[in-house]
Amino acid sequence: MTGALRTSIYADGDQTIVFRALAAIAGGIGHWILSGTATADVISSASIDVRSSADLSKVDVTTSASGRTSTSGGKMTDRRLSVTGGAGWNDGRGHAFNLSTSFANEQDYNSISGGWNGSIDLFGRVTTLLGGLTFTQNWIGSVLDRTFARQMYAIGWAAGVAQVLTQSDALRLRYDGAVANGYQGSPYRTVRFGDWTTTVGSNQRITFANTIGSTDGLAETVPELRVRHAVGLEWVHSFLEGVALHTEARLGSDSWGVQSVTAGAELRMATGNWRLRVGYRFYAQSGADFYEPKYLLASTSYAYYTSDKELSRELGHVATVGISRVLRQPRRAGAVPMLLDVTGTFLRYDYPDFVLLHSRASGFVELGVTWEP
Amino acid sequence: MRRLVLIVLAASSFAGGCARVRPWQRGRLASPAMQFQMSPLGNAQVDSVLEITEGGTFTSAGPGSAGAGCGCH
Repeated sequence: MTGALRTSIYADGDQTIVFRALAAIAGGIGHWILSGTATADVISSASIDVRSSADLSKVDVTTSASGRTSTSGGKMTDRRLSVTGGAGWNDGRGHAFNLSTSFANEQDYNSISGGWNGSIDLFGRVTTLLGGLTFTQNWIGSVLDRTFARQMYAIGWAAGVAQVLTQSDALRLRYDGAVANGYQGSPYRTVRFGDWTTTVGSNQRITFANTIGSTDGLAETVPELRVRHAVGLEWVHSFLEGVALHTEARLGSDSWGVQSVTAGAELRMATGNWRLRVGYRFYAQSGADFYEPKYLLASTSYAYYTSDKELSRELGHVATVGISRVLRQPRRAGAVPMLLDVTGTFLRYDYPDFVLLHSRASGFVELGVTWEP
Repeated sequence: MRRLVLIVLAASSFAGGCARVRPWQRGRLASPAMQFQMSPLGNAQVDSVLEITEGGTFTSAGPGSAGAGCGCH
């Protein structure tokens, strides 16, 4: 039996706070393992996306209300619930597969997904082949327009190989792919045209001037089809008993023109009743082909336009420190220890081509009790 | 895709032929520090933040698996 109870808080310099609670459990019956996870998020945001939105800046979107308006403006709250269930099979001789399904709900977003993944050990169990396939269907709405209803589906797949190289080294090569088709913009993000300027008013609401056309802009429009590929390589090397360095590199590319590179390293220790990990991760991406810091011409000059900073050029630095204390050692073979875990993750992202926000720093702190190997 | 599968199979066959690590020699490999994910549940939490924050990061569960909605996270 494994499981976890975790809570976390995310906060960033862009005025967004997210509380999360998670409960997970998994247990075995013969060769079968059943698992379930439930997650609840509560989100409060006055981010640049919210404050620059023509509609949201006018609305106190206590989104549990049906588009209730007030004069306070410029803030949004939401909650997200998700549940996942899985059934896995493992013959104990190197053959395993897992089936899973999940459902997530927000005020304006629902998704349901199902997936399969499996692995086979080969060559005296020094080589493991991995594979997986998922399907996700999403329904997108808007708390400001109850008639807004769009859909998007996504199919994801993965293949890889893990290899024991020596008594102290293991390697994993993994390819991930995904295709998404349907609405992939945000009903709240709007794009202004022309060489516009901004001023910040009451409630930090952002107003635009010198635009071509309406100062409220137009809802962003992005391609309906996006195909993504990524290849990642991980290497974990043990220096001493219970001390290891995990390194990773990943290259990504997609049909919107976003090219990304990730590199990271994590030093780990697992000795006695303590576990420690300290890691750093670098991330860089190019902007999408259709992204521009300012769309200087009239809207009719562009097939697609967006104000999504995650589609602009992006540089990221992520540092993680995690420490765990074994509260109770397993008392029988096959059981797992009970761990108290505290993890802090610190993130900084730079957006050189995003005019409204050039950088964002954030922190993510988790506290949990975990029963896992 | 077929080419990728062939490459993976060829690479694994080559690597499997080279490895000489017997079951009784895998003490270090069994340590939690030597797993590709030292804390799978903890990693999943951070991965969901990264998927929302980084335009080029995604899981094989596909876009949208981390949730969307306000786009403010």
